[in-house]
Amino acid sequence: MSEKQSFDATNKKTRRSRKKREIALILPVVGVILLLTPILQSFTIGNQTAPLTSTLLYIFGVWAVLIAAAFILSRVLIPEIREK
Amino acid sequence: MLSFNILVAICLIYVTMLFIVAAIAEQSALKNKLNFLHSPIVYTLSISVYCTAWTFYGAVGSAARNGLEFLTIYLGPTLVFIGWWWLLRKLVRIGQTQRITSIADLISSRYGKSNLLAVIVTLLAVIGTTPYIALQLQSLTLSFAVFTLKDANAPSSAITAFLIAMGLAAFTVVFGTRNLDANERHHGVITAIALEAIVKLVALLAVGIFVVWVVADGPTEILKSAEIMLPETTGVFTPRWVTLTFLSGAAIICLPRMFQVIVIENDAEKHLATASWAFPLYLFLMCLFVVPIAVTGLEILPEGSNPDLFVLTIPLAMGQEGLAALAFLGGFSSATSMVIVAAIALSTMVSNHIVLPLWLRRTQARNPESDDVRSILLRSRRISIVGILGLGYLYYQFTGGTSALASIGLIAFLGVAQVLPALLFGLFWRNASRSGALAGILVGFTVWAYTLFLPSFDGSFILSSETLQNGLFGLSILRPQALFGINISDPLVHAVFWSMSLNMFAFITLSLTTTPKPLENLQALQFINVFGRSSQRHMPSQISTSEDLFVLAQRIVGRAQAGRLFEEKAREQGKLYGLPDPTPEFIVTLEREFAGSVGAATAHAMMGQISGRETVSVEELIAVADETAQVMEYSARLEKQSKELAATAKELRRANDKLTKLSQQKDDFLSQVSHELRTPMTSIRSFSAILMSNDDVDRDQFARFSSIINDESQRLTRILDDILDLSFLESGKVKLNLHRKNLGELLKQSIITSRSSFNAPKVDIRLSETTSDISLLTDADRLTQVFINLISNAIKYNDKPKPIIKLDVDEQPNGVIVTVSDNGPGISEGDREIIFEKFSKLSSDGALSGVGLGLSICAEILRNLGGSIRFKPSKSGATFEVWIPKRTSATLGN
Repeated sequence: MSEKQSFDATNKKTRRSRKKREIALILPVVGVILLLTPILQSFTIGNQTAPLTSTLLYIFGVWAVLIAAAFILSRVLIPEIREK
Repeated sequence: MLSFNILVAICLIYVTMLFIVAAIAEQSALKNKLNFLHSPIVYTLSISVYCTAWTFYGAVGSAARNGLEFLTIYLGPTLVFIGWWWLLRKLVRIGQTQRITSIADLISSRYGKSNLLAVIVTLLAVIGTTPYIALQLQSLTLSFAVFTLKDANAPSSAITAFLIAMGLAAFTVVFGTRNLDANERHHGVITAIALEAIVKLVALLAVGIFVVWVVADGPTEILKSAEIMLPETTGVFTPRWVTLTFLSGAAIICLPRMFQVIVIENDAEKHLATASWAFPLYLFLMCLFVVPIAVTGLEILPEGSNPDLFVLTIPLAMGQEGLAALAFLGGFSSATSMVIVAAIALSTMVSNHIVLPLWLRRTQARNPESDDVRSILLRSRRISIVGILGLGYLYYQFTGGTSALASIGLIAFLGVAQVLPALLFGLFWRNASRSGALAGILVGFTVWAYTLFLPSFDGSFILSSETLQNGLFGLSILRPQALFGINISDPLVHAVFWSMSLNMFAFITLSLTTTPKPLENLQALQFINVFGRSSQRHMPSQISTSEDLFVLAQRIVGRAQAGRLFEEKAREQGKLYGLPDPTPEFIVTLEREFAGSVGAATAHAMMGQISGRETVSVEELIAVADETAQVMEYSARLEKQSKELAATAKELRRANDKLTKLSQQKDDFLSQVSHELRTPMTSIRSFSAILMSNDDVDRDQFARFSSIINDESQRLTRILDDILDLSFLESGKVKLNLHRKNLGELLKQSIITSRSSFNAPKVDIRLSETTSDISLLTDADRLTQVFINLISNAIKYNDKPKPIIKLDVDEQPNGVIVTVSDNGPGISEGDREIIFEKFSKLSSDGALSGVGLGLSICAEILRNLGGSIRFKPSKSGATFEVWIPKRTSATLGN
């Protein structure tokens, strides 16, 4: 019984660390979607009064969020690094 | 106004400070006081060498001219860095495990340590970087000129540029070529560059804050005027936007200087984790005030002012000379740090991949040991640094001030980005091959030169304006800026599209159609599975002597380090003195160590030269068998293991049975032995008692009784002799009495002796005729004992009315096999296991004399003589096969 529990625990652990590593893949993809797709243009097209300001704020906003996410991610991933 | 002299003084003080910082860093690195130098912050700041003067000054200019486009130059690297786990981490790990010295080295090492590839990538890097260095020189002289416009003392811009180039060369030579091993970090340079990074950031932030809150009325105001002043189209999500982001993302990996700081100067992978958010943050801060500065510049400065210099001219126009000087230092830092790192990276590549191979080829004929590779390398690195800066200066002289130079930044990005497919595919695609990489890079490079680089000279260099208009040979299909008649309005997008797609097309096609060499496959595996189970399966097949290796090591890594390396290894191998054995592991380690100094291709070539090997061994071939084969091998191994386990279990069970039986035998034997000893003892005791007590024993009776006593005591002695003999044989202290003896004679003698002791003339003993001329070097007495034992057993246990015993001899190259067979009852299957064990007396023969030591004694004697005996199963009777070597060596015996 206890053996099975410890097996489940390690399994859960590896699954969790794999998930962490997969989040690391998602972050740049999210970045690309937010910064390199027509989503960007919605600000210039939809906003006739101040297209530049809104685009600028959007880009800097996304940028800041990406940096924050990368910060959190790096804290999460550091224990996963196995140095030589 | 700041005069030229004051400016020069500021620069000199600043540079002196950098020198001191670099020197202190080097010193403390030597004393191992590295706490600060090893921090991830220094690493992150050193990566900011990405922000050159082109971005420091140019971002504002770009914003003023093209709107938000400048952001792409920072967004590309941001995206690469937040995805560090998947790409940069792998690069860094490979860089460490393979002891990579530059991007050319990485590509060459991945594709079978090909030096040709290394040379091509090096040339590409030099061609891509030289204009970039010229650009830095230009921005430096321009920024000088801003201050010295009205200063009559000021030298011409050419002289300024020359002096700057000289100063940079000196700094780089002093701190960039201190140690040879590119894997030993340039602590001094990196620390100085980290400091410069701070100056850059502080300068730009200071100007920005000044502009937003002093010149203008806060951010809202600025943004409002930005809508009016900046170009109408924001430039987001145009083909150019995507292209530029891609290019800058590629540049952060492929630019030689970026590769140098990110991969080679990396101390620990976890520093990358910090840089993954800290470097984007740095870029974010660098961008924060670009738009405000651009807008303010457009507003307050006279029409026609160069927007590239707004960072300097705004504070000057507002009378803030101190701030202007700070901004100037920021630009100065950006330019110098870029030039220094680029020169280090390029000089490493040039000396490792071009100078050293040439020198090796030239000295191959002469005695290569008389030269010192180290000094050659150091000298060639120093000369390369000066040469690269000289090239940059010349380039600046020829094109300075023209639009050709201003647009060169992005052009250079695309040039070096041509190695990107080879790099990325090399990291993730097993079948990426050397020919593919060569073709891809060459095709991409040609297309880049034809569609972007040469046209940037506007028809003044190689391609005439005629060709630019109408295409090569007047073929409109080959028009450099509209290849194949497809119109892409932006020449940069056009060039990126065609060069990258043709590059990848060539790369993939050739990779799929060529068969890579084994070494390529091996390296591919090592690169792709760098995080997998690490195995040093790369084993040189032919092994050179340790002395040769030591001489080579001294030449490459220097006397002291070579000594240390070999001593360490010798200790690891458990040797107290002398050189370590040239084991395959040691050779692989050594090659890696050399690669850290001279690059993988050269190190491989040198090791190949010394061990006389260029091919790949069988072990390596096995190692490169594809992954399916590996999995199959693994499962086969598992299967084998489980089979082995089953076999072992069976063996154990048998051993256990045997032990049980033996223990039973022992018990039986003890009772047997006591019984055997008791029988003669009893008769001796009783007959001697009769003799003692009874006086009227007549002469005959006396003789009979004493003869019985004598016989019985002899039997007792024989039993004890047997036991002693066996234990003596087993102890291994037997001294063999070796001399030549004819086998036939020996056998005949044995037969006679056995016959006489049993007094059995009716036994038919047949000896084959082939024995007469076989002569053995052996202990004849002992061997005779064996045959007497075997023949006696055959006679003793035979229950047939006419016993037949056959002796056959079969001569072999090294020995003879003597078979002794009889027509007796044989040995039951259950007893066969234990007949050679001590004390074994078979269940059926209890009635006969002997204690069951005969066969064990035979087995022991033969073991001592280097031979063996075994029971041979046969249909009827018992057959024993004795193997005797023709020459028994005297050292046998235990």
